[in-house]
Amino acid sequence: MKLRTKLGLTVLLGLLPIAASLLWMQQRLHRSAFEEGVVDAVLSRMGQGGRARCEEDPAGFGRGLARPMHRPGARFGPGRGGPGPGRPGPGRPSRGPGMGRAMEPGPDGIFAYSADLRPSEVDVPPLDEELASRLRAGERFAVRPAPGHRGMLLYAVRMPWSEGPCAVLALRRPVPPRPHFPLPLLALSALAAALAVLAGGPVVRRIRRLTRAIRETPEGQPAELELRGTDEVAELARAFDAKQRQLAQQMEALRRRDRALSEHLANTMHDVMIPLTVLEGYLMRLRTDMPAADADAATAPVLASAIEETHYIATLLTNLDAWARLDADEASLGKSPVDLKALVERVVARHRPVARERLVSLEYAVPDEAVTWPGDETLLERAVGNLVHNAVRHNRRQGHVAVVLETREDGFELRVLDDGPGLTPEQVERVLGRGAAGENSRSRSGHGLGLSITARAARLHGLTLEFRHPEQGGLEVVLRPEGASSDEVDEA
Amino acid sequence: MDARILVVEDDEALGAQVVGHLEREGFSVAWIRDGAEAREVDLRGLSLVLVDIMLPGVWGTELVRLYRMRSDVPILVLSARQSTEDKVGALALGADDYMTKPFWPEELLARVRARLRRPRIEQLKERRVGDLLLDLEGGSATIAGASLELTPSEHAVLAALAARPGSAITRRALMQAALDPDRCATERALDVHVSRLRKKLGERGVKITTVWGIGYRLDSVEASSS
Repeated sequence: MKLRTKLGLTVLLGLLPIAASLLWMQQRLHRSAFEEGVVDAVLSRMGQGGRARCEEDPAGFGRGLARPMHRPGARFGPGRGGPGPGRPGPGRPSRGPGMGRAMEPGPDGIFAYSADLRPSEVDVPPLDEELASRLRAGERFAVRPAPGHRGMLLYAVRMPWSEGPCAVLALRRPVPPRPHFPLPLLALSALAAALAVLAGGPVVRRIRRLTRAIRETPEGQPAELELRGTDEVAELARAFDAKQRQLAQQMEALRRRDRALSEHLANTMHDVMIPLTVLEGYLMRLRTDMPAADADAATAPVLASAIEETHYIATLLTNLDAWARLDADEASLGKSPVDLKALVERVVARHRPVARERLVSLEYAVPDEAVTWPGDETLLERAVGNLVHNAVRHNRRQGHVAVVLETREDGFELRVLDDGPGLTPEQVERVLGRGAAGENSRSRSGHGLGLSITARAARLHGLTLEFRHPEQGGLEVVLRPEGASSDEVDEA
Repeated sequence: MDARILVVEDDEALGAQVVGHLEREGFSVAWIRDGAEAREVDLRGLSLVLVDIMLPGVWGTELVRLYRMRSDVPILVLSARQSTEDKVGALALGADDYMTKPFWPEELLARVRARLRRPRIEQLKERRVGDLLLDLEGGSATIAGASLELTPSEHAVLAALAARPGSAITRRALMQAALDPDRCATERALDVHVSRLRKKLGERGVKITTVWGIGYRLDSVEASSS
């Protein structure tokens, strides 16, 4: 729900209870005024001779009141004079035909009672108990709905005197008409809601500008916010601005730290890789210069192992570097066209010395035409390098490894095949599963870290990584663009 | 070889090793250890420059930029910095190749040879591999001067292999290049053609090697060492 709609509804909902309360108060006041008017009229009439007539004939006084008294202040009493013809006069017994009915006064019937609320005559019914108790409690008059007479009220009024049989009068009167519904009050509520909606307009527009400024600000830059004003919206903008500046400072500190760590890592890699390169050079020099006699002796396998372990360390270090960069910020990885033919040739050239030491045949084939794929060259090289490294390292002696890059109508297919022990589907699942890198990076015989990097790099480059398990054994790992059709090729 | 190579490397052990590898290959090598000195070097007559990135006094990338402004000599960057940004940056400044440390000596020499190799002029009319000479237009072939009787398919298979001697060619590529897709372009047919070619070539100058997992490769007998 929009803010302005919510604001209008809130005002309306706030005003409705107030309007209902006012309406209730109006009705209460109206009724109270009506009741006061009735009592005043009774007192007035009693003061203007009504007392004398009542005390003269308390029973007949009530029965003689035939004319309804519709409004406060109307004439009260039996006609315009004393008791009329045929009516019980003073001193006359109040009994006669229909006495029972006379005890049930009509709408305007009046009964008189003494100050202690005793009926003035034997045929006058006792005063309603609830009214009696309220009068005894000191109230000047009491009113309640007339029992058994819907739409009627029963009044009990204490006179200003306490002597005689007419110190209290009871009478029944119609319920006063309801006052008119206060339409202006309703209109006022609607007007207030409309005004609230209109008044919310500028606030809503400022909030919208604030939202737009935040949304349209380029990533990594602070939003230019409207900070003027003293209201809550301006306060919100200032709070947001302060927070974004604080975050920017923290981000800058993190970036500085990240740059420092990256630089430290690069320097460390530099310091390690140079002696490693020198070591590889010495080992190869030993291998090249080894006399033929030694090549058949125990020295050769030792040297081969040294070459292999050196290669393993180099691969592990470059993999750790690649993993750190993948963890740091995947979004910042380079995306430029990578020459996959050159990449395959580089990877094979790097692994040939080790393959030769292990007596593993490492061959490759690339097409005549150029094959490029947008991506991070270092990561793609590590992805393919890890496949070749595993294929060579885990192969048997006299084994074979082939790296084949071929073009397809929908892209390319890069396959790394070997005839080594292979991996079961369960092992592949475990190696590529969550947390495999951490577990297997500690296992020198595992494929873990390397294959995890290959899998992550493939995913980042829109490539699928497929593991095939040829019937004749070994493993075939295929990299190809996502969505490209699989096309298995028979091996030579 | 008469190629002259400049090596700019501050690490004594590595520099000496690189220079040693290159000299054993027959190259004439000059070695500069200091970045400031490398800025002033005369590039005339050089065939290739090998530059380290992290040098005292100056960054290798700065040298690449300076060298490229003054010369079109091929530049191969040697660096322990693994990031793609470093590679792309060096190549953008004018380096021709970027090689990360550690590397095996033969890897380095292969890259050096590749940089020094002049562009091959494609022989459109004939193709020669060792003693094998293929007439691409006439469809004939000779081996050590003796004529070879080849069917058109055999000639096409041999021509496809001779296009990149010493390199493995996939079965798929050979079938696409040499066999009629409407007539028995199958792996079995390719194997039959290769088998017949081997018999006809005998042991004279070249041989067709089966490459596991890939297909076939044409090797010059004298050069077939791998």
